[in-house]
Amino acid sequence: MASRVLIVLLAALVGVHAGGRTLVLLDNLAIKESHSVFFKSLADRGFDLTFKTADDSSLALIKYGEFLFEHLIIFAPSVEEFGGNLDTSALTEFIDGGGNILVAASSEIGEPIRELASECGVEFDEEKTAVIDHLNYDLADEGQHTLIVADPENLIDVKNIVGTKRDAPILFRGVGMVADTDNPLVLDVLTGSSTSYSFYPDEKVSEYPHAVGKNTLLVAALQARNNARVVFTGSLELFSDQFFTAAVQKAIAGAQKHDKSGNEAFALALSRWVFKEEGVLRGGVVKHHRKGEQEPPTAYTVMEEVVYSIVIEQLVNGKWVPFDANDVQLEFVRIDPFVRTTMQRKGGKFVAEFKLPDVYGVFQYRVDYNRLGYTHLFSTTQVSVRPFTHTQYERFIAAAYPYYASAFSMMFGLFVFSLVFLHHREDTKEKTE
Amino acid sequence: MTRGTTLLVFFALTVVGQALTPTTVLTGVDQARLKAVFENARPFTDLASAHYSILGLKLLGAQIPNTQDNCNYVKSAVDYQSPESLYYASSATKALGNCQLSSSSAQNTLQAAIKDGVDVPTLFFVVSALINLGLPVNSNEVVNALTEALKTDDSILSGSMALHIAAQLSKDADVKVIFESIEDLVAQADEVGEKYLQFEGDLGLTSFFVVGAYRLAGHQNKAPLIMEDQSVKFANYLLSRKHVQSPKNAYDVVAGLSTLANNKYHIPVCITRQSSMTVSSVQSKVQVRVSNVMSGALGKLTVKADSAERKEDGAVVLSNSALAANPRDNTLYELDFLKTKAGRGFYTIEFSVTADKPDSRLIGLSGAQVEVKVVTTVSVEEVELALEDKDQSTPPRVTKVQYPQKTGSNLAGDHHQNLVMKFLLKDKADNSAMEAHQAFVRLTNKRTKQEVIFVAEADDDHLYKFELDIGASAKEHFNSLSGLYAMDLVVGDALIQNPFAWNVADLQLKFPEDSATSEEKPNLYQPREEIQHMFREPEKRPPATVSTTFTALVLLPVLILLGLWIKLGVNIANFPLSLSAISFHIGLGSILVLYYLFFVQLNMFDTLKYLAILGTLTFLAGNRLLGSIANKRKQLLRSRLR
Repeated sequence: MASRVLIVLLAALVGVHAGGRTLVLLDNLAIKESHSVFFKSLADRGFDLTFKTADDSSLALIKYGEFLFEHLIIFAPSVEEFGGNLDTSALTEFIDGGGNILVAASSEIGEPIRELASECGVEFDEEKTAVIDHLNYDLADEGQHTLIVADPENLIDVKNIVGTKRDAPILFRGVGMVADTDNPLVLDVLTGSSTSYSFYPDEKVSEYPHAVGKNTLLVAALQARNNARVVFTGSLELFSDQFFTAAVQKAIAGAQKHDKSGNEAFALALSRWVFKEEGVLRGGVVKHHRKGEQEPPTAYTVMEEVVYSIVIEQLVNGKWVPFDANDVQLEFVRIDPFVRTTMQRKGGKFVAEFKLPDVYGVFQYRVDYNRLGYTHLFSTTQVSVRPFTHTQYERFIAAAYPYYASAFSMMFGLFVFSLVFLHHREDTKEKTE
Repeated sequence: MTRGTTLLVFFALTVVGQALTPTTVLTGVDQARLKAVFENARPFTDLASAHYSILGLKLLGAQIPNTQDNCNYVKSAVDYQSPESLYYASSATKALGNCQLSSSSAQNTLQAAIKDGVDVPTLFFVVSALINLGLPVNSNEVVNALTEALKTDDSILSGSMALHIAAQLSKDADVKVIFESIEDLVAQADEVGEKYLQFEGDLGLTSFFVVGAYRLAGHQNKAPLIMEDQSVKFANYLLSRKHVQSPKNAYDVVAGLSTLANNKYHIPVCITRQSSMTVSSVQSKVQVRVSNVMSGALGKLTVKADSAERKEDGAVVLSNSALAANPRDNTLYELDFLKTKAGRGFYTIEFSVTADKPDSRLIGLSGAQVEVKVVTTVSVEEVELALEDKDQSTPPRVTKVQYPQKTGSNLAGDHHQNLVMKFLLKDKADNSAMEAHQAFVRLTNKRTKQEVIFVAEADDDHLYKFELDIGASAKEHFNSLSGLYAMDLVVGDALIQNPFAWNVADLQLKFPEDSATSEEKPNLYQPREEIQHMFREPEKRPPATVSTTFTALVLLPVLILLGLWIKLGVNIANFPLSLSAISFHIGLGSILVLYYLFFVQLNMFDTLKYLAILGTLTFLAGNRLLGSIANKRKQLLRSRLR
């Protein structure tokens, strides 16, 4: 019994770290049950889920200037207008404030979702359109070839976002997107195959489709500059219990049959990433000093050998553990970087040793670690570097030896001459006189 | 194929105006899944879920594993003081069979609970538990208490509980009022999209009501006041929730549906497509399952297809033809759809059912619709590939290509030319030209794998033509990247059985060079190039030999001086052995040594300090020395004069 209490206590302690308050907006409350596996997994991972319908008049993200939620799930594709105080500007404000959003759309996509997406650099196709792929559709398709079998190889190659286990294909039915090419922060998490396109399934293709080939985004992600994460998926069903447990087989002769789709693994990995359980870094103690010393000086002098170290930690299962990578770089910057060097990992710290440049001024040690799937780690430490004092220049220069020698020979001469001049006796003259 | 039909449920919320028969059933696969949900509830964490799990398995007709363990769990978890706990426990033990609760201790609690002012839920728990345990119930007393309780509580839950209570009382109890309340309760149900009927979006409540209403109707031997279409709508709602995952919800679905599959008054008939939606020459039969909501058989039936209508143009291809019963499975019926010579397209088939032995319980006998599509094989013909000069100066070179070969000649085009491709898609079934939803031309750069996709458009005669102005599209589509491109024709349609991506040719495209200024975007997420600081080179110095030579040269005058002096016979014979003379010369020498030390290590302030001491001493000693020398000279001069 005591051990059980202990386990509960431990779980509670871990729980404090993991999860967070999460608002789930639904089209109707039936979605809560049709997607129960997904929600249960979130709840088990310590998320505090609050379910509301998207047109609930009491919706609010901010109260008394504070965010009520850390994460937001919008599983309400067809919403025409959010209830309460929620609108596109409130949502973008939420993202600006560091909140994470997971949005799932469908072919019934409504205007608010499209607006939110375009704020984030993702353009959804029109309502009633669907991603169509006549060469990669599932056996269970209902005739329009809109139940897409997305190959795992079309996933972005970042394990933090899509997980490590990805052999089974992913079932997708919904609306397509394209990414704004001018927005470098949008990531193509899952794209359609090169034969896919997005159009009205019932209408003749009379104009160039919104998205064609590999440009057709099925799942897009964005990590804003403030590390807020937003994921857009064109398919709400991707997260459903039904797709989680469905078998997948492409409707072509001889296609391999998978008894279970890759949806569950993918959806859970995606949710781990978007809700900051995965790929979260933080910088710890920064130390810098001259080589062979322990404390930082008030100012460095040019050309000194210095040692810089920073502790970088990663959040793994709610705990901070030392981060492991071999591509963390240190820059020594005065407006432009003067030195950029790759740091070595030594016992949980990243260490760099280098020689200061022969230029003085106010410099910064800067670690700017920005990798796909990780939060942006940015740490700067300002130091001043001064020139040599007059005593620090070279003293005995070989080329100046003639000057030294002449000065000393003069001094020697003075000494000897004074002796001789004062005490010389002219013997011969005296004797002759 | 069962999955195909269940998928419908998701979009079904928005489907309006369908004929009122359930569009899906609880198939064998669904039942197996729900069974797994019940089995996965073990090990039990609370009495309620144990009760749902046991009853759910029983309803599905499944073997209840580890009966004795279940019994032990129920016995250990039951609270003999709580009617609710006793209700769950007694229902579970009753379902388990050989498992006995201590009825004497239960009886005291339960009998004591029937008193004035008791609320409906307690009454429901008490009556159900008493009946489950086989204990006597005073029906009149219960009816009175119930009537009292209902006066203050008119919620749907209480109303439904009242139905269950009444259904368990003895036949002679007067529950007419409660039976008639069914009509009022149904009136409070919410309808969604003319397809579903439910209470407050609550699965448990809806199912609980449906079970209660038919239970009481069976008890009273009177048809409940539920309209037939309402009954179907309840069934639709329950079926729409069949993907639930918790034991309670799963039990609600199973309990509600088994009531609708087996009662004395309303049994909705479900017609669902069992074969694939696709009808082709290979698979020309449409197979439908005619069953109750639990996919159980309904006895001998005659199933007819009333009509089949093409969605596109409303053409009716079939009317009033009977379906053949499948000899192996008495719920399956088949229709050879291609006998009708239906062309490609989406069709809606409407069915009607008549029972060979009239059965008034069956409802929703006509108007059931099933969708199928007739697909065809497509062939691509008359494919012509040409590169035309823009100024029409030379006649175009036309290459004919045969599917599925790739043209042998490598085509090379530059920005003065247009690439033209023409082709015809033919329906192999009747050899007529057709159009496909997807007829794209894909150009893939063989080196960068960059894809550029164009849409080929058909003219009025369904002849597809694709024209590409190589020069004009260079910048917009190709990023002015010259090179070898693979040209594919991608054809696909929902009605095409053989969609394909055919590599027609390899193209060597040449774009104007000057516009090739595409800058690669910097990748934000890569490690950046390392920077080594370039230290300034020190200035070049003369070689050491030069300075050594000159050092020797500057020391030379001293040597010369000394040499000459020796030659001249320099001496210091006049040196007076006085303190002042010695201290003056030592002082002078020390000052010079001090200068050397200043050069080597001392700073100016130390030097000045020492210099002050040495200087004073030397000054005084020097003064006396010079004075004594001057005196000596004076004496010498005087003695000479004398």
